[in-house]
Amino acid sequence: MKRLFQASLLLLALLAGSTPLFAHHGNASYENKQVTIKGKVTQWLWTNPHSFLMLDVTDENGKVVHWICENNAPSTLVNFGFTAKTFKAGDEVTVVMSAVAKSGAPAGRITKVILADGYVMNSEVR
Amino acid sequence: MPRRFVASAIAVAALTLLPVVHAQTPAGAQGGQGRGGQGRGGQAGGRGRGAAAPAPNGQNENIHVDGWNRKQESLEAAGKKPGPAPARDLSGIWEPVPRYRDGVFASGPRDMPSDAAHEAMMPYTPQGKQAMASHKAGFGVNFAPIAEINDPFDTCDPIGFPRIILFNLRAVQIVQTPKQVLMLYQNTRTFRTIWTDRELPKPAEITEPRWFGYSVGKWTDPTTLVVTTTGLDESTWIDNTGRPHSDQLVVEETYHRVDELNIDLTVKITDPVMYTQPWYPLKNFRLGMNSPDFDIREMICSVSQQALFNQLLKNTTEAAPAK
Repeated sequence: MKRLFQASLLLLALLAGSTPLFAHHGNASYENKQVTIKGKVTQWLWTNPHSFLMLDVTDENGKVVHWICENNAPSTLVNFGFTAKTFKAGDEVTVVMSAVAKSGAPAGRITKVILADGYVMNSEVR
Repeated sequence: MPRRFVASAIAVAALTLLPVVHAQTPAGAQGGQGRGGQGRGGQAGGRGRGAAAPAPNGQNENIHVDGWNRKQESLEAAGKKPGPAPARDLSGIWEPVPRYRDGVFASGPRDMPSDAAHEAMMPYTPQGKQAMASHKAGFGVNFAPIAEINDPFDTCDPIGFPRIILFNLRAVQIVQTPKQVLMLYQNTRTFRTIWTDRELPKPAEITEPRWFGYSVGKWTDPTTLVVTTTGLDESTWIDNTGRPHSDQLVVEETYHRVDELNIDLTVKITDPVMYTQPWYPLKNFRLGMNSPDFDIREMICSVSQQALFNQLLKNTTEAAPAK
């Protein structure tokens, strides 16, 4: 899965740099690494202390991997235009993450989400 | 502008170069509505990407909004010139400036963060050192693996004082009555009562330690309120990195109204059981006045949401790797 997007990652990394974007809960379980996935939203959890975008990603062999993508707190995300209704199940999105689980589990922290029509929803706190 | 340029470049690259991104229309070409008018169109109260005002560069922007999703900035940032500080008056709706997130303090308060250098400066007593080692925080220089974290706030125990001002100090409304100064906090939607008509209870009179303690305030000059708090529940942490306290903790907050639109907050921690000398987590930390129309949004620690969050984070360490 990751290999499939290697070229994309390299390009994005070149453009955006590879700066760690935000470090929050459980630093021990994440490593800073930019990963991009594309899939279908299964759930958008608008929850405290952080929100989560759940995503089904289908690889080239048709295998579906369920990703857990952590985003910031709603009280921060509202300032970026996110709401509890920004995503709904079935939406096709591309998720760019700045860190992923060290364990190799399909989980990471969101930097931005690119919607199906190309609109970019950044959530990077500077 | 370079930041915007880079972001635009990424968006363009994503749309034109990357096979993984199946763009249906050019960025920004749809003046569209959000989901049912509630989606990303909610940016700045719906003005961000409405049909009449397509968002620039096909991406969202970081625009500070209040609880009613109305664009907000501090009055001074909005161009108001501060007049002189009014006497004995802190009332208003305040937020850290220059950036509204400046009080998040995830890795410890601004003037004593938990990095190697500052942690080495912390005046722990042996007992304080031991207590600190027993606190397994998710943040700070000695952050613990998720499975070991024992932060009481991770189960939505009350955040308590002084952590309410040393972690996620967001918007706070200050209300004054003839005998009280009330602090209404965005974080956990809680409040404190500071009595200005009395002395602190004597230690022997405190039969019930409290999450937010017992607070009294004295105006030491017309623009400076010094608040002293004791009688604090020992189970709370001082900050997000687990700095400990005993029932001997005394917290002194100094609110200095610099001018009409700004307050500087200094916090002094004294606890002879845990620390050999007082220390200052915040020194002249600035709060700027917001519009009186600013609606403080909810920021609730929900037990069920927190449990879900903890479970999802646990999954990141225990779930099967992606193949």
